[in-house]
Amino acid sequence: MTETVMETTLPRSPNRARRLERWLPLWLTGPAAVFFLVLLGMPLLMTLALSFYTFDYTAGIEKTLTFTNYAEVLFDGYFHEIFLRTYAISLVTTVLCVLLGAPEAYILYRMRNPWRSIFLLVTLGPLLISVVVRTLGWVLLIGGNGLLSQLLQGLGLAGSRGVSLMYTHTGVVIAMVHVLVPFMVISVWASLRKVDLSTGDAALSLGAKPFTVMRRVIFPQVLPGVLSGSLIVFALTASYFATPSIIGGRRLKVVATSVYDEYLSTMNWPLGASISIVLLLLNVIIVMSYSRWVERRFRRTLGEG
Amino acid sequence: MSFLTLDSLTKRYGDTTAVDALDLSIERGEFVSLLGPSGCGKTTTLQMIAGFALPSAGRIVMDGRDMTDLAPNARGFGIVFQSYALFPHMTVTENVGFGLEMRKIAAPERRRRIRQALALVRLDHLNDRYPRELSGGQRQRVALARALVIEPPLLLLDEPLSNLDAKLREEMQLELRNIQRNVGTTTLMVTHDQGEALSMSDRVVVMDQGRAMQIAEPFRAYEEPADIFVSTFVGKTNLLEGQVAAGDNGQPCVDLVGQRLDLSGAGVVGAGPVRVSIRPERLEMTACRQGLVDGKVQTRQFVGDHWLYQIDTPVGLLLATCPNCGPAGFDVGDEVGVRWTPDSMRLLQDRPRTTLSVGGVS
Amino acid sequence: MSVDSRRNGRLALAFHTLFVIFLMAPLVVVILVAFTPKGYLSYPTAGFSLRWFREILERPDFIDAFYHSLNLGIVAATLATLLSIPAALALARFRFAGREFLNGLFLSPLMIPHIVLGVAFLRFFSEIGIGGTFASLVFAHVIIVMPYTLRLVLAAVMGLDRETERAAVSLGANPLTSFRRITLPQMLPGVAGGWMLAFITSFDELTMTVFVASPSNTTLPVKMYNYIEQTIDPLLASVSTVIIVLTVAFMLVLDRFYGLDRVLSGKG
Repeated sequence: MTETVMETTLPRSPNRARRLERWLPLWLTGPAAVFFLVLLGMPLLMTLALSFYTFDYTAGIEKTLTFTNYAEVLFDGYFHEIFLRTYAISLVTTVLCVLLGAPEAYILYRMRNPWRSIFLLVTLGPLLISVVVRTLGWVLLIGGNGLLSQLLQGLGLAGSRGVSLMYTHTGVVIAMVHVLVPFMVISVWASLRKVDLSTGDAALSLGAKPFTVMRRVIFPQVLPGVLSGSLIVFALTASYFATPSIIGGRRLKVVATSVYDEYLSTMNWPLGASISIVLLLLNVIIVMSYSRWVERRFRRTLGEG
Repeated sequence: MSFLTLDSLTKRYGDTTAVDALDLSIERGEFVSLLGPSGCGKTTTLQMIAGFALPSAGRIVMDGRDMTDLAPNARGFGIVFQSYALFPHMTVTENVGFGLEMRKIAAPERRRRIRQALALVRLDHLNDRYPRELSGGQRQRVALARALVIEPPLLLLDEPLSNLDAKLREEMQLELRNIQRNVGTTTLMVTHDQGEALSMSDRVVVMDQGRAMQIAEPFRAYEEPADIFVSTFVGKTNLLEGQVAAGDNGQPCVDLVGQRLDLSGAGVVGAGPVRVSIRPERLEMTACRQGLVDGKVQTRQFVGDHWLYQIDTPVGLLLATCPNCGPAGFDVGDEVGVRWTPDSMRLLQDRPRTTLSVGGVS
Repeated sequence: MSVDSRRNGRLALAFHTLFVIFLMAPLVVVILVAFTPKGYLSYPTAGFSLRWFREILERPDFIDAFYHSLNLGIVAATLATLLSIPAALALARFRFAGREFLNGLFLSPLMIPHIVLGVAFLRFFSEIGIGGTFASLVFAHVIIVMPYTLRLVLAAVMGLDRETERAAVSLGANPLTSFRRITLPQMLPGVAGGWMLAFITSFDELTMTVFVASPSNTTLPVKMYNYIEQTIDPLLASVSTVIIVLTVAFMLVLDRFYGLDRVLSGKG
């Protein structure tokens, strides 16, 4: 159909039309393509190069080819711990986001207007509010003399020194779930919108109980949304900076904060560059293989369209 | 000298031929329909005339002027699209005025003609509505007004009524035809609905696989279908197998259970099986053994103005209709006779569908 | 027994209530603390005070950062939108060599962690000598917001009824007029939605901007992050409250205009 489509807007002469058809898309995408190739391609290539340079506290960065940075990132126990912690936090956060976000999306979907629109706004709105602000809220909540601590003290569950979740895995995970769970809700919501709710009625008419309807009929249909939401949450958590940095601090370093420290405190840019390249590659590998797995597993039943 | 001439118009997409050397002449003021199943090339033909698709070969000539390579915006044809294609961000007035604006017609004149066009389609009270605030029928009228207001030499209708529900469609068929008669614009309509084509057009072009199978007035296309495809696509029919035999005077004829159709004029030579079409309303149901063939009523359907019977007979399953004049005369399971007159039989040739020639009767 | 699969049970509503409390608690706490009359982090148990909002006016560094963020968001979102419109038209309507590659290229910033983009831009901009300038911030932000504008503009182009363009042409419009009068106005909601999502993304961005901002060209999130690194006092809460109020207002406009769930389906 593309042939007829293009002829609509193009001049009559077949030759001119064909010429325009060849060059027009290049002119249209040209500005953005050049912009991206220069301002995204170059920086990434330069960082890749940087990751092979050496660094010396007195001499600074030297343009020599070395693999010592990668050796350090890949074989040093210090970095193993950081990478392991990062992905452990990501996994727990993802699981919690599924457990909280998927049911919430379903509940929202079954609401009626105006409640549905109001709570959709309440649930998705935080995505637009600055992460720094949201994380600050958690600092005020779970910090040394935060509301949580005062609540527990009031209930006699905590001593006079209070309870602080700052600089703990629990604190980081709670705040991360809060920051990212809207992504899960929106993802599940998007696939719920494609679900024909009368399939649920059909199951009821065949004698299924409401919980069975949700488990056997609705959930399988929104699984693609859960899976893509999980991927988004996992990938974002793995490279998240603001929340782990503010709540985890220097004590609970994750990959992103260690890159920040290499660049802006230690000033060892080559090492920081190699950490970020490793992070980028791991993220790409995880996203790609996960997508391929999902694709292969669900192509027949739940493919798009 | 006809007004619009399509001269062996052809459109190929790669290896497939969408429209295959179509010849058609349309007179000034005529209403012609392109009728066929989806994929028969009727829409592609319309698009080539509109200028949205370039013909691979052939010419489009209007009023002596070759339009084949003219840009679509220079043709000046009025088009009513299947989706109506109303501009959603413009009011009814703005939609109808768009073509006049493109022609740089001064505002007072423009207002006058918009008012006139909207009055023609009886929508003068909805000037400031947006398309999404209109019903399907109203949108259809706006689309028609928008196409007619530019006073086009040719009006192209692409399945104009297919988005309307059945009742509204029938109303609009009448109204559309009335408006076309009043304005006198030469009109070409594309449709897959044979009822629509038959009831609205001066002539129909029945198309299949990119070719015109028959170009005729509606009554002729129905009564004298050119081939098996036309006979089955235009209306319902009974297709029966008959044998060519020698008649009383030595002329060839078809013998169908004793009823003979003279083939002297048809140019058929030799003997062999042929196909004969008899329309359901031409079959008369009688008591058993009083018709040409006996059978058993298999189903009976009530369709409002008539009854529809399926009768199992030795010559095959026959479809017969009886006008509804009181309760049905026959019931499922009844043994009945069926008869028909010789002049209701039509000899049909199955045209070769591919370039492969089918061997003649030996 | 009335069984209705389309209604929420009591358990579901309890879950929902807890979920909403979880989502709202940190924001409510921030707003409460902002009204404290005390000089340290505390809840306004003894009455509300606006002293920490007045304090903002005494801090030109925060106000400057706010304006920088505002300018940056507007310029970056506008540039990204201007690049997206032709690109989306080409991607949606032509089949050409390199189409898949370009589509992937324009959406790739979604896959690349912002921390990686940050260090890459830091190196690149300082090497070519524009490190810390407003222009460098704009370039970096256009890269990260363009996937959002592109997606929404692309959706707008794809959702367009191509027959309206044919109708315009059949009524005598030339291709340019048809684009200007018919195509563009119909794309407008998508373009505006994309611009707004891009603006808010740019306005909130921290991770990457931390690396490319300089003391003279800093954004509000970066300013706040650096402040938190030093100390946490009620000033942060009052600034945050202002941000929350502005964002909610912005969000309502966006929701009215385009539908928040539609916009955000494009995010992430």
